[in-house]
Amino acid sequence: MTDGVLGHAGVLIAFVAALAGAALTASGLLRRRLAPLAGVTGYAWVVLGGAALAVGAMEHALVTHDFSLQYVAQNDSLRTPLLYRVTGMWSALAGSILLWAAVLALFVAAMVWRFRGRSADPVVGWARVTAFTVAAFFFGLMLAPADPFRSVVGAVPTDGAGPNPLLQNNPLVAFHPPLLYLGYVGFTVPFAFAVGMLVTGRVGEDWLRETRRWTLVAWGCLTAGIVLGAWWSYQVLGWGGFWAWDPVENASFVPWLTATAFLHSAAVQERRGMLRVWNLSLLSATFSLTILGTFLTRSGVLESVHSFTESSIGPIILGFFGLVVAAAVVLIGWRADRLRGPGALDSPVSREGAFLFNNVLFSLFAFVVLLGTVFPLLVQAVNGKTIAVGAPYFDRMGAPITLCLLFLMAAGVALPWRRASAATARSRLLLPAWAGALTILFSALAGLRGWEPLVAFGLAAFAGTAAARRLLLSVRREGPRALFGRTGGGMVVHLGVVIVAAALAASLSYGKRTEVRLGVGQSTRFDGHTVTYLGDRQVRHPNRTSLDALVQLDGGRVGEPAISQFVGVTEGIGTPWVVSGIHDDVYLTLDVGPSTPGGAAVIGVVVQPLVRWLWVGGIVMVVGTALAAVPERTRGRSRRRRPGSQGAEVRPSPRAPAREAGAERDGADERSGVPVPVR
Amino acid sequence: MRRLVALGVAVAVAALVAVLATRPPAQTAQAASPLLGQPAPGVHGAGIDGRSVDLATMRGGFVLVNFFASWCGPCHTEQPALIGLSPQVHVLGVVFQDSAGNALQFLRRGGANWPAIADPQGALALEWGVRGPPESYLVSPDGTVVAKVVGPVTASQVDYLHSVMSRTLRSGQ
Amino acid sequence: MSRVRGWAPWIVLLIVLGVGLGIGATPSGPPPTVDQQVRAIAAEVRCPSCADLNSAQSNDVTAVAVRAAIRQRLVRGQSRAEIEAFLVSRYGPDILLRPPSRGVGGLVWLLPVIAATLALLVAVWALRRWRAPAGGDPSAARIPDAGDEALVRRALDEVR
Repeated sequence: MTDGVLGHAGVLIAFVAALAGAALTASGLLRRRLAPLAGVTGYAWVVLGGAALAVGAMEHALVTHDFSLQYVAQNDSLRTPLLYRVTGMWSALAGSILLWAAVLALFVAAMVWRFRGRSADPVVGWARVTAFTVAAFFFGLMLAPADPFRSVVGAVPTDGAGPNPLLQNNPLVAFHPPLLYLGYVGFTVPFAFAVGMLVTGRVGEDWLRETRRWTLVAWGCLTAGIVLGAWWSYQVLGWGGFWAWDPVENASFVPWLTATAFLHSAAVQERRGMLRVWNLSLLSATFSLTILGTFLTRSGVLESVHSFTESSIGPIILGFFGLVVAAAVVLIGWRADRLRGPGALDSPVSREGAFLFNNVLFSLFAFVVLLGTVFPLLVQAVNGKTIAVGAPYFDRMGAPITLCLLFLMAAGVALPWRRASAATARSRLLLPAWAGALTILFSALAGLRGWEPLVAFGLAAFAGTAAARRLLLSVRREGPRALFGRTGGGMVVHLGVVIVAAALAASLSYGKRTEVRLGVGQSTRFDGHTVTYLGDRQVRHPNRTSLDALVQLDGGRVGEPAISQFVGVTEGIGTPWVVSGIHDDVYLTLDVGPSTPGGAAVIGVVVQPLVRWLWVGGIVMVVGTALAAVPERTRGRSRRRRPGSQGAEVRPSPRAPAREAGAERDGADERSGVPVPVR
Repeated sequence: MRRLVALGVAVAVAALVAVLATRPPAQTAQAASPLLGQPAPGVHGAGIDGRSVDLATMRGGFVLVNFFASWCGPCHTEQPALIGLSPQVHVLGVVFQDSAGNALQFLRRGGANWPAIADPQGALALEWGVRGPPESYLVSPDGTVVAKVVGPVTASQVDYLHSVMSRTLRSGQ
Repeated sequence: MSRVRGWAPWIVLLIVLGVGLGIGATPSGPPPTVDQQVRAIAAEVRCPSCADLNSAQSNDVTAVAVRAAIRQRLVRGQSRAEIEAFLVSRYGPDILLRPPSRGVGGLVWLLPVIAATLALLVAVWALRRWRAPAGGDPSAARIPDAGDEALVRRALDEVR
């Protein structure tokens, strides 16, 4: 009971404070009375306090089984273990909004605190207005349509339904949604600053540099969240796959694509003042797409395993999405003339050219995935027919784009700024190209077939060698410090991407699956592995009963794929047994249990190469992001950039780029401000 | 040029929002099955209570082919509505992924006495395009499928079925 | 001559690449078994009772029934198109995971191609507009000599 009251109070406090913060800051800015704006920072702390109160109340209600709250009655039960009671806060719609709002409150407070000394700066002021407005929206959602603290109507039940069985099967539920939300919500801060600088017209590169780390952290969290989601899907769901092109999965992938493009393109703007409109558009697109993703997940217009049961919340979120896009379009259009940067593209064969092409490809990829996701709705609106757009479409469209991106990864790393002569390009790309060609040759000689996976391996080797080469050259020149900072960390991330790309190509092209009916003691041989069925047994857990099949792999390990029956849920949930190796994963499921005790069971076997490397690659990407976020102590740290110029610092560079290290320094090092023309 | 692009983006997003705002929820009850207007697929074999079942012999009146299972919650909730329908409409149950014993018990406990047939391989479900229970198909007296209900047959679905029945009779079958 | 020498390793590389792809692209191994054919077709048919999976991945009763129906018809000699048409005649067009190639539904294949072409055209146009004017290019390659470097070093010392 009290939890409900406290929760409502927390939400209301946060909402009012956010609204007040936005209104007061805006009025101060409009009337140019900037001095008192320093006091408005206090409102961010009140928002955070309200959020903390609401979260605390919800968690308390879940942990103590307060079934007087409707949300607890639907998502908690006496049998649910403690961990899943805590994570129950985000297992369903209203709670997930609470999580979003809480993370947002955290980011707003962090942003206000970080820039607390700059309250007199109108850019910071308008950024705060934006951030507070977004916070007010999400807390406002919880006031009426998605109220997590609504009381149960009628008698208070003595036990609840418990969370969805798939959400109490695996501890990853404690990490995947929060990480995703850290990613989604994290983009609010750079977006807020983008709005701030558009409104004030101060469209230089400062805001980019200030918020670079925020964007990087958000991107890293989103990456980690997506990879964890894929891993969870693989480990838990029993179908042996990790990405289904489900609408909600796509809703997380599309903003990731635009955010990746933005991170790369921002480097060009910081260095050359170019691509300003691209960057603002990409950033606005990223933020808008996170809102659109929220809509798709919660509105019920698209069927998905992930979608929360819909409520009236859909149209409201859609309206907010429309508002955000309209604001972005109007602002960018209004400041369009100021946004024309001083830098210009000298040659398409240059790093700028590669990054521009990069932007186009990532935007195209985002367009394709978004189009495929909403296309059934569009067709239905036009002629009422229902069609499906599934994996075959996304695979066919995404594969060539991914291959082009892999190629660009090498080109972008190796090409110098401004203009690359044929000789430079040749010398820098020769080694990576040889790595690629030899990879293809040796793979073909080893028996691998199919031009798509082979080209993918070759391009992965090409891009990976380019990144490794760059990293090694930097380390050789500066020691291990070169691993930190934007370039070093970025190359590590590229290595992670290359590992993921190769693993994807291998597992998707060479995976095999089958299912066999085995009596007790019988074995079968499939794709180089021996699977023996040893028998079955029933196990009783606190929240479910499971029928476990004892299966032995390759005469060694024994595992237990199972079918679990959760109380109150009619269908059995399968639990796979995954044996992960360096070369391949063997994925065993119990498809049909024995109809009589001691009878035959149907065992599903999926063998996919290199799956473990997907997760390794993901970890490398996250590590690389962390490395990239470390502040650089460079020689030019104190430099002041003249607005629009390419910077005042010049490092005397050798004339003839005879050696690799020297050649690499000419303009390829991102620390040197002026790109020296290279012969 | 930039204004043009901005305008283009605005129009595209506005169109997207308009479409998304007007979509019905993904699970709609009155589905457009490709079987509508087509002759009904056959249903024949041994019923779960021993009597033999054949849809073809039930011509002459409306038949509601109802796919159900004992483990399916909405199937419980739709039983009273189906029982209410059963004077005007012959109900023919098809068991979806369930044992004959459970299904028989389910029917008897609900007070239903219509024939039902087991479908252990899911072949009948595939023939009729059934994705999951409960789903019901209304077959006209001359053997044509005239309506499909996805989900439980609620009171409003009963009205819908009645209207379809009278429309079919009026149009002279 | 030096020009050719510069490109020589690349020509060899291309040959190696060609050989590799030539070997790799030729299909090897036995023709697909009925099992594999069934799974290949089922992989593009949605599992009727699950939201996300296809009928090759899922083990729901409906997916198993779909695989059985595909197998029956394959053995009888029906083509993939005929089998898919049969499934559509029962479940509707959205049982197939691949969008149709014709009609309004086919636009989903066309629109990205149009978008890519447009992007390419815009890129070419923008490139032409951005290019520094030909002749008198201020940033034309000019290698800095020792005098330039000394000047720069002096300027830096002043700034610091």
